[in-house]
Amino acid sequence: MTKHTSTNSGLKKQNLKTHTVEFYEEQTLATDQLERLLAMSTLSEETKQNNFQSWFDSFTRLPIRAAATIALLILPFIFIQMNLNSGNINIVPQEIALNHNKHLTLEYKSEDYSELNNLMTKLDFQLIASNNPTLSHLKPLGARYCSIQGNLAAQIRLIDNTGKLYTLYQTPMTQSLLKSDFATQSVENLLISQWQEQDLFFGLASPL
Amino acid sequence: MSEELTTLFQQGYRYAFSLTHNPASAEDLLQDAWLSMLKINAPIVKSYLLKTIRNHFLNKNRRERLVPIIAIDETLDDHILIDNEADRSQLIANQDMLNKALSQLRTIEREVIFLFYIEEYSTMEITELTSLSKGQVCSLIHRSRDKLKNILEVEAEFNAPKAAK
Repeated sequence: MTKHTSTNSGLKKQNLKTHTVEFYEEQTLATDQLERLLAMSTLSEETKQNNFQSWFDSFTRLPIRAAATIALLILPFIFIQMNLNSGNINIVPQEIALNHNKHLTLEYKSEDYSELNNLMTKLDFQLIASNNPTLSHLKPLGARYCSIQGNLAAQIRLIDNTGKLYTLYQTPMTQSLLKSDFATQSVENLLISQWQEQDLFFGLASPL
Repeated sequence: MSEELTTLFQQGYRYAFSLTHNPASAEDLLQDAWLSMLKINAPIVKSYLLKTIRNHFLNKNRRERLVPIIAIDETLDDHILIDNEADRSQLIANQDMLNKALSQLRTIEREVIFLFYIEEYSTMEITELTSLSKGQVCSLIHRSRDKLKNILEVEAEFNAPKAAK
């Protein structure tokens, strides 16, 4: 019978509850991950405040009688626009950057998109090799499952001829993702670009 | 505010870890849940976060239906959880042994152990989170704790010659 590799270090004699509580108290979120989640919260809060401030400033400049009339007419539309804008525009690039920076282990190793597509059986869409010329000099190393805005996505690690690593995300396009600002953005020392090809959303994290 | 959020994130992470028993997966799960809460302006409270984490876990792991395998006549009452033998007896164990023992539990068994011991949820609160019946929750806690205790006892016995040195 093979011996277990448990060491004797840290052995304690106590009841089950105390053992379990101590075990789970040792499980702590990594500091960098904690900081990113806090940063996301701050960004979301600022976006909401900016939206409200813009709406309020534009409203108070108008003459009161005209403003009252206009408010009755346009208030519902402003409210809808605030809800459409709040939280969505910058959250996706943040999510892409955060996932890239975690450098998680690849679940599947292959340099071929078709092979990755065959291996990643949990995906409910077909992985494709993008026609975006930005990717022409990048070679896939492998992929893993992840999610974008709560939807299952493929995270593909790419490498260029200088050894720099990039991360490409593919997931079915949704109404929510369509609202994301597709302008290339700089987030956490990365260049985040987003686009649509066929029915898929693509996100690319490139080192600066 | 950031101190409160930090505490909330740690609580969410530990709950996610109880479901996945994997640090990277737990981080992913927490992140996904938090993003979805930000997206809809959800209330920033622990109960909502844990529920969201649970829903995301179920979505990602459709085969892991978190269904207890309990016969109908085995549902128990709260009283069985009080002054239980598993909690009274003293066990010799370390973090490594706990890690291995917990990995041998089913996800739902780990989940109820976590909620009962670490979050100190009442059976009613566990019922609300998991949508199990009160009887099922009581039975699960009772059986899961016994199972965990038995695994640790076997492990301790197996390591005893090393411990005796």
